[in-house]
Amino acid sequence: MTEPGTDVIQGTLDMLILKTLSLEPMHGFGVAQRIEQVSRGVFKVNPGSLLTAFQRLERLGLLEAEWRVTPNARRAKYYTLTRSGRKRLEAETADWARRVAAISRLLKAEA
Amino acid sequence: MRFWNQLKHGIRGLFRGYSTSALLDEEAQHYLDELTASLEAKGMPPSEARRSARMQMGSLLVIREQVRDSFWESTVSGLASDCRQAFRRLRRSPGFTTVALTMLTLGIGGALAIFTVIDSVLLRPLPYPEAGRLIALTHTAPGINLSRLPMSFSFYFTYREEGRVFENLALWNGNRATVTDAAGAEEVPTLFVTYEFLQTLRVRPAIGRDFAAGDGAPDAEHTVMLADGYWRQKFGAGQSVLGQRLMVNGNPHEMIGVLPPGFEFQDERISLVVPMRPRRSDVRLIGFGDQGIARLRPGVTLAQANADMARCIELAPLKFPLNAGFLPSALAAARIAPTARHLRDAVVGDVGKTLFVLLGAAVVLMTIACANVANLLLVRADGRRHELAVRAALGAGWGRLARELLLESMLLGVAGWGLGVALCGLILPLLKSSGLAGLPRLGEIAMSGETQVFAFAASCAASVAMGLIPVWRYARPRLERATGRWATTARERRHAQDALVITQIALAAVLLTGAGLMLRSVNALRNVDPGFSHPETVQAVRISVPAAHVPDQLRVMQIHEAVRAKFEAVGGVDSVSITTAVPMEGGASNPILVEGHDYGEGRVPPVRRWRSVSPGFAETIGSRMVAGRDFRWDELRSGPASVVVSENLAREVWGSPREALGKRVRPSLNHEWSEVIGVMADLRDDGLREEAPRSLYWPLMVRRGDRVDVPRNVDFLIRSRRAGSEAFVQELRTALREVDPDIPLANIRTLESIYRKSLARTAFAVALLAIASGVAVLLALVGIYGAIAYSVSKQAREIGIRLALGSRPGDVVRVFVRKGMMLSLAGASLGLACAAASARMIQSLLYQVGAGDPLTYAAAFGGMVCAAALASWLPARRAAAVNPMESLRAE
Repeated sequence: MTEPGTDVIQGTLDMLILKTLSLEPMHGFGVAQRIEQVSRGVFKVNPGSLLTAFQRLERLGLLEAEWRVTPNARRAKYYTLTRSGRKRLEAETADWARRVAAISRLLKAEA
Repeated sequence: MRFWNQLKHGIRGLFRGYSTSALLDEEAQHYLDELTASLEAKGMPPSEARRSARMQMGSLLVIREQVRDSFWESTVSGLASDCRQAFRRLRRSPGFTTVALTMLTLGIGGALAIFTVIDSVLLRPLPYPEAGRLIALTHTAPGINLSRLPMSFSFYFTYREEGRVFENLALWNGNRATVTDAAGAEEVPTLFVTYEFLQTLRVRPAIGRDFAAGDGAPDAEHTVMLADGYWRQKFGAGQSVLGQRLMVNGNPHEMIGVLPPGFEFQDERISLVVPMRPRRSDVRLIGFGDQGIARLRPGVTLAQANADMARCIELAPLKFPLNAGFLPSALAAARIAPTARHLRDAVVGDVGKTLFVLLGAAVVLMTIACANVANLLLVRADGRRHELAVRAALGAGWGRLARELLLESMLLGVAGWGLGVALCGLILPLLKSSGLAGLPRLGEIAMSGETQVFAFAASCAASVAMGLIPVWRYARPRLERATGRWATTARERRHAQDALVITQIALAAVLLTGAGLMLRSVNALRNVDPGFSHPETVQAVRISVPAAHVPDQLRVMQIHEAVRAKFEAVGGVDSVSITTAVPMEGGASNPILVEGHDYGEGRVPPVRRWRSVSPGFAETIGSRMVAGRDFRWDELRSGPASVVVSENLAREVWGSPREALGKRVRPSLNHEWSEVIGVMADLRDDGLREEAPRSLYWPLMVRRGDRVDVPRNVDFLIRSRRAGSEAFVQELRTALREVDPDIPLANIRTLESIYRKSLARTAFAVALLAIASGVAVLLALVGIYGAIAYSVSKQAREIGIRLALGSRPGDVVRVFVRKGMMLSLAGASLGLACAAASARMIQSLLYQVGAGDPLTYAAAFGGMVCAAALASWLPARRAAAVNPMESLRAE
């Protein structure tokens, strides 16, 4: 079996999806796989949360969806980052970096 | 933008629920397939891969719900499907739904109708621009015992010239005028006004021009304004009539304009508006005969207006000479004080109390209806308690169950509102056309948007309140669930039900008491001797002889006498009399001096009611002479000045009717003394509720030297069994035409109709209260019947055991009847306490009955308890019919 994964940190799933899609349009499973791979299996994505997040982001106008045929000749819903999605990603990345820096400073100070 | 996107997608989701979820399923399925494929690619056998993928993924159904629940439209569609379910449940039990809807419809429709009347009559402003600034110029004169003194020309000019708070002010006087043309003569309702009347109301003529100062000048040409209805009826709405002449009261009047359609003033449908033309130099201080209205300057309060008027009243004696024959101190002694009030209050008068009492009755009725429906809902929810318990056990949240129960009552409430509005729509035209209420502003009554919104909100609130009772019983969050106990105990349910039944009985008892008090008042009123008898056989008609038509006073008297003779010759006529005021239609009041009485320096003799009558007045109205005799025709023409007085006046002034004969009175210093020749029984001239005014009856014609005084506007009273019939009136009309074809027969009515009018408002209130209390009692009885019937059916097993163990059927029945009696005793006692506390509100509507009348209270209490006993005995009998074996086997 696969090694036990950690759930994605609360509130960061949107950012991870946006980041993943900023490289190229993908379908849902592709995004999940990519997050798992890149995090080297640390993060496991719950399919329900993922699909819900897609719906929400699409509704917010950060993603655009399109039904396309996959390389193995099946119909799948591909998501693309929109212009405002890209902006949101930049903002969230900067914010995240700030937080991580702050937290690591705090942790170091403790140590 | 974001919000818009949410809304757009949400609405799309709502309407294409199926296709979106299908797409979502496809997406999820694809995800699952890819996951399976990736596991296979890692080397898992296909079946193992599929199983593992499914485990990782979880149920597709759950995913779909998870996605859908995260958006607002899912709440909406959930609500919609709950609504559909509630609707289906209601449709499956037509009996319950019909009963509940009928109650709600009656309750809401009735309350709404009465509230609409109150809103239209009392709350809405008059239909003139900035009507809040309009006031009625009224006064009191406590010094001469007058509670309402209208306006005089002296006050009119004083207020105009000295007043500081008025923007406009005008006098008016509703009367009738005779219009003659080639087709003959007719009498039409006419408003006589000073020229700035329409300007004060801010009403512009639809065509033509408004009155100007010139139209009020005494020597200018006569002008007249037509009402829209009269203009259409008489002139076919022809524009060319402007500038032409109309013969009004024998004088040509130039028609200068037409009022806008729907113009009404003081509820009078008028045909003409004619300007008054006072000559300022002829105005004397005293002469209060016209009504006044004024428009206050913006921001001026009633108190300021009254203060300013009081200041002006001081100035009036300095500006205008006193009438001949009055003591110089007369005005000061009268102690005239202003009592200006808003024009709306003046129009509406004292009807407000009646209406609010009726509204109270309607609200009580609606509460009873709601309590009944709540009871039904409670029983219904009780029937579903196993289902609810099972669903709760399976994980349904209490919120969801509560929502379901509430939705059912909300649906009923909304449907009840719709039906109630429809019912109200049926009631209002009936109410308007009946006119029995004698309500002011009846024509303006209409449901306003605000009223409907208010009714909707009230219905929703009521239905939530009704629904919350079963929710509280069966679907509230509670601790017992943790311990596994869910089903409500029977006792808890019964307490709620008992409280509802007691409430209903208490409220019904309140209404019953109120209706009883009103009924006793009406009975007391009906037994009051009005001072006339058999009014249904007295016909009254009005005749006016214009001065322009017949200038000579003696000739007027001849016409009156000729008409009387002709009327007497009509078939079936017993007697005919002429008067200046029909009984109960009011009359003029003046101070009267009694010979030999010293009123003291600066005091004015008390004001007395008076009318001029021909011989035969007492006989015709069915009154009687207590002492002395009636006038005679021969002395009317030539005899000495004489007068008839009322019994109560004779007793007050001279001690007894017999003592009054031969004594002398006169209306002012420059009149000669008149001798009292007769004393007539008292006449309730101000309505049945009021004491009979102390009155004098002057002869119809008074000769002073070579001057003759004869009233030109008189009513003929004709006693005949044929009174009121169309043929009879036609014969009277023919008879009048034989005397003078240019005089119209007007204001045709019977004394009976006038008598009825004085009872109308009380009778209206009684009728509505009686209906309301009847329905309330019925509903309360249905409530107690239902409660007892329900507990009999619930306790069938217990009854079966008792009967099996040897209880007699009568004992079992008695248990349930006793329960019903306990409820009704508690309810009726509570109701009487409430009635006693609130009866003071209807005190002013009562007549010769105290608000705490013990007989009424006892009757209401006894009636309520007996009816409730019967209502509980009927279902209780069923307990005796329980078959012990069957009810035991049923478990």
